[in-house]
This record gives sequence, C-alpha cells and structure tokens, in this order.
Amino acid sequence: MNSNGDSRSILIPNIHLQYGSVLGFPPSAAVQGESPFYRGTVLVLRKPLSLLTTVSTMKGKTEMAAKNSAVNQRGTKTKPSNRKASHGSSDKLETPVTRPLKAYAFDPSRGKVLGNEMYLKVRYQKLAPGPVVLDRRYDSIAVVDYDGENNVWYKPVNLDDWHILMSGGLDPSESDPRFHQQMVYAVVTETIQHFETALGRRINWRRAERDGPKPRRGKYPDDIYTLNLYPHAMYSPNAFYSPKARGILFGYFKAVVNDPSLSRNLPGQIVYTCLSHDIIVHETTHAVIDGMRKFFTEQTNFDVPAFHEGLADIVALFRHFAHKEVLLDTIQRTGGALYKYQLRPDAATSPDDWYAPDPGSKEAEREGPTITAEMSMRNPLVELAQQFGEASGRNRGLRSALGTKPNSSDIRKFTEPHHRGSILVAAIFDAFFSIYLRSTADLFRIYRSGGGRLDGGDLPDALANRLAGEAARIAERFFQVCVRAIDYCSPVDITFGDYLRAIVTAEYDLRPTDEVGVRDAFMQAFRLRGIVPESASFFSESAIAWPRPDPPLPPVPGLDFGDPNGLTNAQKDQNGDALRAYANNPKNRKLLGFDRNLYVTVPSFHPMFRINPDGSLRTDMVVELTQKREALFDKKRASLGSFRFRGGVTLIISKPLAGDVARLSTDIPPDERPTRAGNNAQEYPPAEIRYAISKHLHGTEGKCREERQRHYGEQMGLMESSDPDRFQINFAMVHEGEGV
Amino acid sequence: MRKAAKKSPRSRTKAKTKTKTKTSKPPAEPSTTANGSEAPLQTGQLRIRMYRVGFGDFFLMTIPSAKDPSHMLHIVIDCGVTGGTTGKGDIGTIKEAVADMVAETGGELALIIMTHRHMDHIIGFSRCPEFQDFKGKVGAIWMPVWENEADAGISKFQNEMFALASELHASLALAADTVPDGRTILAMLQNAIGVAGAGRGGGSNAASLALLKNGLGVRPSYYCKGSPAELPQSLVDAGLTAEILGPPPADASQFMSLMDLRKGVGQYLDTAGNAGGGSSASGGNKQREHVLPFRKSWKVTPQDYPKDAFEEWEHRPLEGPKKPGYVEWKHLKQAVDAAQPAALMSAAKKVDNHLNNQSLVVLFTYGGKKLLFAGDAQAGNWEYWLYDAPERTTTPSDKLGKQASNVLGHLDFYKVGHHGSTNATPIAAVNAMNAGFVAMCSTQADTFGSVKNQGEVPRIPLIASLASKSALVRSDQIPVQTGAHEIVPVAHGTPPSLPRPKAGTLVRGPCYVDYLL
Repeated sequence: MNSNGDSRSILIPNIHLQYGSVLGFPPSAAVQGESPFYRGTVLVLRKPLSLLTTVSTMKGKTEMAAKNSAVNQRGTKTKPSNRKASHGSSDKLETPVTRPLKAYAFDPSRGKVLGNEMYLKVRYQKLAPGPVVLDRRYDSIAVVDYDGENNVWYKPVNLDDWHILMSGGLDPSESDPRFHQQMVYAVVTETIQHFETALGRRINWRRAERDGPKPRRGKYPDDIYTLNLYPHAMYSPNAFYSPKARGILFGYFKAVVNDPSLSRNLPGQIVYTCLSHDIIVHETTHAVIDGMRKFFTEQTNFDVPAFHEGLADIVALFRHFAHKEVLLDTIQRTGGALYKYQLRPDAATSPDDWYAPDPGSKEAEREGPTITAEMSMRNPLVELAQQFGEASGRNRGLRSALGTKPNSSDIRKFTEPHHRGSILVAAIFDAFFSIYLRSTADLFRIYRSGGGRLDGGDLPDALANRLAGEAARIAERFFQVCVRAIDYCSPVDITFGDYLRAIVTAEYDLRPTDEVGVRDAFMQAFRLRGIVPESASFFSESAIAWPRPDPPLPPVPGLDFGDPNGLTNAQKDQNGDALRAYANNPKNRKLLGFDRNLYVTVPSFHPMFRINPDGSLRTDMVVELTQKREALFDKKRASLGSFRFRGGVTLIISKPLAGDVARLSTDIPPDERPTRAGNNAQEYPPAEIRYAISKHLHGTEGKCREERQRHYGEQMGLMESSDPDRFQINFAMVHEGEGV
Repeated sequence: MRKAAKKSPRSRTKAKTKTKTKTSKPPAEPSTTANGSEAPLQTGQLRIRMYRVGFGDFFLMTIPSAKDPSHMLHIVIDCGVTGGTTGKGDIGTIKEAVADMVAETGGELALIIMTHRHMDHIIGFSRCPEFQDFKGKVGAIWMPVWENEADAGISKFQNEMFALASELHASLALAADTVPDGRTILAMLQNAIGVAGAGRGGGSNAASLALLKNGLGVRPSYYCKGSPAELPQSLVDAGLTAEILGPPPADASQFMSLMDLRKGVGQYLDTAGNAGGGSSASGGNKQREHVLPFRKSWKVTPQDYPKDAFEEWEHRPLEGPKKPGYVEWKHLKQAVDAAQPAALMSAAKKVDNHLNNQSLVVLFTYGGKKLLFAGDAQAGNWEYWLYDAPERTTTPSDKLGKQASNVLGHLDFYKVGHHGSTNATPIAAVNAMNAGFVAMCSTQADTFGSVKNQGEVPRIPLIASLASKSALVRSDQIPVQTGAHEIVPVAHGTPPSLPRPKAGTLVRGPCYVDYLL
C-alpha cells in the first residue's frame, strides 16, 4: 500500500487492467495483475462507486485511486495522468478525507469550558453554499435557511471560502446564522457517519411505499433523497422531523427564566434549537430510523412513537461519552461513578465559614455555598439539552438518561411518547452503567488496594484516563448494539419487548461470546422496568433471542449482495425481483407465516458489511417483507371507519461463499472434494436465511395485535377522521409540550 | 312542589300555543298535557328530561319522594351550551329551558351534578337569572375530584390549564382566520374558558363554578371512581342509589403532560418571554410580535441560493405533468410553512381532552333500573372502569371487567357521551350494551367537525349503532322556539315520530323530551 493508500482499500492480486499505459506498459498488452509486482509496482486499487454516471460503462474494471483517479468526484473523466504522476510526485493534491468544522459539544450555554467548542472532523464532501452536499451518489443533506415565521431567507454559508477553510470552520457564534448552518451540517453529517459505521452500510432517507408486483420506477412524490435542514424554520420552542417538509425544522424562541440563578440564559434571550448538539442528533435519528423502517412512524401501539423518541434520546446521550474532556472532568467529580446526577463542586462548603454572624441569628444557621465554585453542577453526561430545558422554564435539562426509577408499573401507565420513551432510555443506560462498572471494577480494585480512596479526592490521571477510555469504548459499543438491533426488528408494530429481543439477537449474532455479560445486563435492566417480550417462552438469553428458523427456510436464489460501494440499479432490480418472487411463492409464503391471499411487498433490502470480532468482513442482507389489509374499527359496522393492519417479516440473509464450500466437509472423500483452485463457480449458490423475524396477520398473534391496534386507534381518537395520514406520527405534535 | 306543579302546565300550554301560531308543522307527538304525563309520577316511576339547548347538556331527573309520593325529587345534571366552530351550537334556548326547569321543580333540587367544567355543561348556571338569584334549595352538589380546590396539586393544575387556555384564546382571537383550523381551535378554547359568544347572552365558566361551589348554600362533594357517593337522605329514602364510575383518580402522569404543554406553545402566549405569570387574557387584542433572530443584513432572496439547494423539490415525473411556472423554492417554502402551526391545535386538543376526561360518570340505580350518565368522558376515563384497570393502561385485555359487563349488559338508560362523538362511546362499550334501553343524546348537528372528514359530531355511524340497539333520541330532533319566537329547525333526517322504547314512554315537550320509566 502506498503512502496515499486508504486503509479500507482492498488489494486484489488477480485482475485485468485496462490502464496499462498509465503504468508504462505497452497499450496492446493485457496486463496481468501480477506483472506490476515483478516490475516493482504496487497498485492500490479502489473500486468505483456504483452510482457514478460514467462508471456504468466501466463495470468490472478497476480504477487507480492512489493518484489522479480517472474519474473525479463529479463523474467527469479526466485525462489519464503520466507515469510520473503514478509514482506520487504530482503537484495535484489528494482529495481530503475529512473536513474540520467547529461546533458546540453541548450548546452555547456551557461557554468555552471543557471543550464545549469543539472540532468535528466530518467526511469531506463537495459542498455548495448552504451547505448543500453536491455528491448525490447517496442520499444527502442540504441546509436551507428559510424562516417561516418571518418569511425570510438567510444568507447561506460557503464552507469552501478560504477564510473559513483557513480557520477550520467558522468560530462558534450565536449571532451569525452561518455558524448555525455549519453546526447543523457538521453534526448531522457526523451522526449519519456514526449510524453508517454501526450499520455497515450507507443510510437512506424515507421512501414512499411501493406496492404491487411491478412497482413503478423513478422518484415517488413522497420519497426523500436529500434531507433538508432548516436551522431557523419557526419561532417555537420545538424542533421536529417532518417527512412532508422533507427535512428537519429547528425552532428558535425567547427564553423563559423564572429564576436567573437556575438558568444560564438571560430572560428573553433567543435560544436556538439548532445550536444544541443533542437536539440535532435527536432529530437526525428520527429521520434515519424513518429511512430504515418506514412503518415505525405508523402508530399501531403506544410503544411505536415512544420507541422513536426513546432511541433518538439514546443516540444523543451516547454521543456525550465521545467528549473526552467532559468525560474526564465528570469522572473526577464523581469519583468514577458517571451515573450520578450531581457533580462535586470545585471547593467544598463548610458550615463554620460565615462572615461575622450575629450569635443566634438566622444567618448564622445558614449553610451552603458562598461562591460559584462551591456549587454543585448537574452531570452533563446524563442530561439532554440543558440549555433548552433551562430556557423553557424547567430549571434542568430537557430529559435525563436515568429519568425514571426502575419500576414495573410505569410501562403500564405512561402513554405520552417521551415519558414512555424515557423508560426505554433508562433501561438502556442502566445496562450501560452496569457494564461500565463491571468492566472497570478491576481498575477500582487495584486503585483501592494501593491505598487509593474514592471519597472525594482526585483520581490519578492514569486511572481517570483508563476509566474515560473504557466509558467511551463501552458507549460506542452500546450505541452500535442499539442501532444494529433495529435491523433485527420486524418491519411493523414494534414494541419495547421486540426491541429487547432484537438487541439480544444482534449481539448474539455478531458477538457470540459475551465476556462481560452485555446481553444479561440488557435483559435485567429491561425486566426491572416491566419490559418483557410478549412471545418468548422463558426469560433466558437463548429464549429471548429470536429463534433461528427450524427447519431452515429454503435459500433465496438470485440475490446479488454487491459490495460496500453500493448496488447498481440493475443489481437492485435483480434483488427486488428475486425477493418478490421468493416471498410470493405459495410455499415460501406459508413457511414465512404470511397470509396466502395477500401480496407480499418488499419495502427495503440492504446489504450490510460488518466486521466480525476476528477482524474479517461479513456480508449479510437485511430484507423487509410486508403485507397489509384494511381492518374495521367495528367489525359489525364498516361505517365507523377502518385502519391499515400490517404484518411483516424481517429476513437476515447471509451471503454464501462462492462455490459450495459445504462440500469440503470431512464426510466427502478427499479425492472427491473440489480443490480451491477449482472453486470458480460461475455464480453464488442461493443465500441462506439466518433469521426470519415476523409479525403475523393471522393466528392468535395476529388477532391480539389487531385488537391492540384497534384499541389504540380508539384511545387516540384516530377513528374520527378520514385523513389517511392520521396514523402517521406527527412529530410536530408529538414534540409539542416536550420541545424535541 | 305543588305550587310548581300548578305552574308548570300553564307555561307549557303557553309555549305550545306559540309554536302553533308560528309554525305550520306542529309537533308530531302528543303534547305532555294531552297525554297526561303531568300527573305526578307513580311510586317506582322515574322521569328523565332532556332539554334542547343546542350543543350542550341539560338534564333533569325526577323521582317521587318516599314520604309523600306526590312530592317530586329532582336532580339536575349539567346546564350549559356552546356555539362551537360554526357558532350554530348555541340555539339560544337555555334561558327558557332553565325557566321551565325552575317552574317544574319550584327551585327545589335534591342534587346538582356538574360533570365537568366545560362551557357546554355549566354556562347555564351563570347565564340564567334563575340560578344567579337562586331562591330555591339544593340538597347536594357533586363535582369531579378535579374541582377540589383544597388539593393544592389539583388546584394548581386547573389554574394552569385555565391560564393556558385563556392565553391561547387571547393570542388567537384576532388571528383565528389566518391559522389553519383556527376556528375549531378557538371554539375548543372558548368552551374551556367559557367566554360567551356575542349576542347569546352572558355568563362565564368562572361565574358558574363560583356559584356552584359557594353560591347555593351547600358545599360540593368531589368524587372520582370508587368514591362512596353520598346521596341526600330524601333520595336514598326514595330508593335511589348511585355509583361513581369516573373520572379516574388524579395521578402523577396526568399532571405532567399538561405542565409541559404550556412550554410547547410558549411562543403563542407571550412573546416578551414572560410566560411564567398567570393569566394574560387581555381581551383578545394582543397581536403576536415577530421576533427576528438575526440582523436584517443577513437577509437574502431564494435566488441567492445555489440551484442544488432545491434539488429535492424538483418536479418528479410520477407526480403528473409539470405545471407551468413550477418553482422549486416555492414548494419548499409552502411545505415548511404548512408544517408549523400544529402547536395550537395540539394544545387546544389536549386541554379539551383533559377536561372531557375529568367528567364525573354516574350510574344511578332506581327500582332495579340502571341509568348511566357519562358526561363527556373519553377513552381514558372509560377504560379505567371498562377494563377494571388499576390505572390508565396501555395493554387492556379485550375482555371487559365484571363491573362494566354487568352495568352495560343491563342498561335501561344511557346519556350518550360527549354529544355523540366517537371518542366518547367506545366500541367495546356499545357492543357490550344490551338491546332495548333508551339513549338520549343532547347535541346540535353542524357545530363541530364535518361529515366530509368523518369527524362530525354527533358521528352518524355511532348514532346509527346505538339506535340499532336502543330507542335513541337526539335533542336536535325536537322542534323548539327561541325567546324571539323563532322556530329552531330540527336536524336533517329527523324521524317523524319518537322511537318506541321497550319499556316506558318517550314524550315530546315544548323544549324537551321526557323519558318516563
């Protein structure tokens, strides 16, 4: 790999090159990949992205990426560079991998302390003023600063302006809308990257429902390809994701301050929701989940909107643990107990420290802090959107990671999505802190055995650093588990119990050995909060994890898993046809538990490329299959209206190995085994289904679900309207009262 | 009472004469005088009278006294009306109805039940002089637990809700037509705070509450599900029993959701950033101040944006043919503008639902007959007792509780909840009801919602469902005269005659329907 090589590039030894002249070979010679090695040239080859316009003509060919890629970002061909260039001495510079931008780690109210003004290194993308991402090979984002309250458009920031480039992004400022645009762009991009790392694939935004055996091709009116971000869309203490506005609307409002000592805002000052890191991440998460599972915004039970809210909070809160300075400070101020609400102040108060008290006077009895340094602060790691919470009169952050004490009755009582979601948040963070404490117990033990004390003194830097490292690592792992688990949920009608099963399954599927007991920690934390799966027979790890299909389902023929660079349109068409044909085969339909009279649609299929614990690449595909029918609110009276009742199956399909490796097993006589050299099958064998996670339309489960959905619709007043959109979660309304 | 009984026929005859002179279509049913229902009720008999006041409830229940069967004992259940979105809900008959009630009862009321504090259930108490200068006697007053001012938590909650509704109302009063659903929102808020519409005659919710709490010489009792209902001795002696089925006791989760609601609509309440104070209802003349978040120099035009910024809004062929003059940024602007004003609707709806769910639900039993008065209770209130839930539950079983099955399966009378809206009579309840009872629905069509969006009140299919099981009568199917001697038309599709119940009789009066059982 040469100096410009990217660690993710793949070295492929046996290929034909069409760019022989670039390397100084005679143009007529078809150069074997091995040849350059003999000639002393090492090639690092980068495969082109699938959706690049000009690449379609280059299918199956490779491109030299080390220097002067033959195709630039916008897809126009450039002249092949000369031989000198290929040796790394060109004056043309490599496209940067990241773009540094400044943002608040929390929000403006925390000032500059403890790295609150931070650099985010987001992936480099070519941008137009806005910022508007110009690379449209994947779903993208565009910041459009339109203010609906004042009917005003604000000047868009040009992040490629050399003044901005020189300083690594605009400096944080509340009064400059361009910084707001920059921060929204940076935080949304970073959040997307995090999701993509966890999921092992590029994300996409919401797509409209495509029905029938041959859905029409092209962009549907309700599809979102570019998520628009409106940093100052409205005058309102609110921010929400709106599929109809194809983006996220951030509000601004005047702070309500009842007691200045409890709020870091001036009464009446303008507070911008687009400057709260937490709020941006929260709203982006809504959009990402909606892109992954479009039916999770269709209200079918109380858990559906609560799941959306809870997960958005979880993602935002886990981001806190990536801010090392705050993490170290919190570790010092809590003695390593990161879950505590209050931080130890800089200086301790003492009851005898009172200026000339009159003996016996009330003042003499007064205790408590005299100066700011003696005041305890709230733990920023476990609190969400502090400035917003304070500015809207709460005297604390908007919500907290551990907002509810464990009990099993809240889950039956709380129906408001944020309150209900907070039960999920608390369960996840309960598990997180358990694992953090379990993983660091030995460090504390070593510290104590060496005479160290945890009652108020400073921890040694080395220990604090180790603790911070552990906390950050575990937070990242938990974030990944929480996000990956979405792929292991059935496509419709999610419940918290399903999500627990999905978490346990996803963990098991990717990390079968669980040294620290992560799965058990999740199970216990959920159980304490009364969240138990509806359909599992026991509360054991193996029973909670979704069962593998037994007997195995027939393999799926004709799937093309593509590679991490994406699928071409032809590959997508092929997969769509293959999956529709598979799911609508009467035999398979029965095996998958579908209703035999209803057509099965394929809302989505995504190849996933994830890294196994041993470092190897693993390729799977997650597929959603759904069916729907209209169900009456009152079975005897159709005139009282109906609702859409859906069933669905999520398939996790493994990419098969090329050639039938199963035949290499020991029960085949050695002389009959195919040799590796002969393992050049023309196509992959059919792909095996690892998991089929279902919600049926019929049977006892179907009846119960239908009844539950009917009852929910009645409770929520969804009967009284003919508007087909009334079942969609309206985040503007859901967030009303809660803010975000 | 004798005096009242003497007075009563006179007033009715008079009313009837007026009707005859003004309309060519006399009531199809025989008048009360004609069929002799004026005679005192027999022992064991009862009468439920539904007055036609428009969109609102005003019921009078009468039973004979045990000591003197010629002496009647009266219970008033609610007395109010509201104009609604269309303004057509208040038909202007409430004063006459109250006058009739006082004439009938002589002002001697054994019990007044106020189900909840919405205008369409209480405005009559302050609007009508008979109540304001009350000269009669009241045995007891029942209210939902939410009216108990001695409970600091509840009192704070109610005050906050009232302040929120008033401030929203004030902010919206002038701008209702510029906000989507503005009229509906305004009507809901008006119902909550009780600001009487112009021309329909005075009164306010606050004055009504003050009268009921302090002005009638008896301290109200505050009830929730499970409270032992204390009937006045005369009613107990007469053989009446009562059970309180709703509202559920106030619990923490119900408090929380509203306190935060205020913050959600803060921008509509007070742009000076001082929403911490109490009421700022300034008569509806406060215009919203526009807050500019940045200097004017940051302002640009959409043309200053790169074309790529609007790529998402480019015309998509599957949408159909592209209209001439299609401009991408205009579509973006429209979408952002349309996504916004949900805040008000959400807040108004929440206040409305909260108040409806505070409804006192009372089950009377008299001589083995079960009479259910459900106020405006909605899903949250109903399910608490329908499913025997210890609290509002998210996972109800599909099987009704024993008590609910027993009550609904042996019903003789049902006061249709919330003027016939679907949200207020759960399907499970309708299905569990036995056949052959009498249902009375006090309502006025074309007040809230519309048939087009399946949100009409009363909801036609629900009413049809109930009517298939019961003898159902709607108040807006009774021809009635206003004080100005105008005939208020009956609802479209009114049947020519009242249904015939399985037991007892329904009798039409000049401004009411009686059910004699």
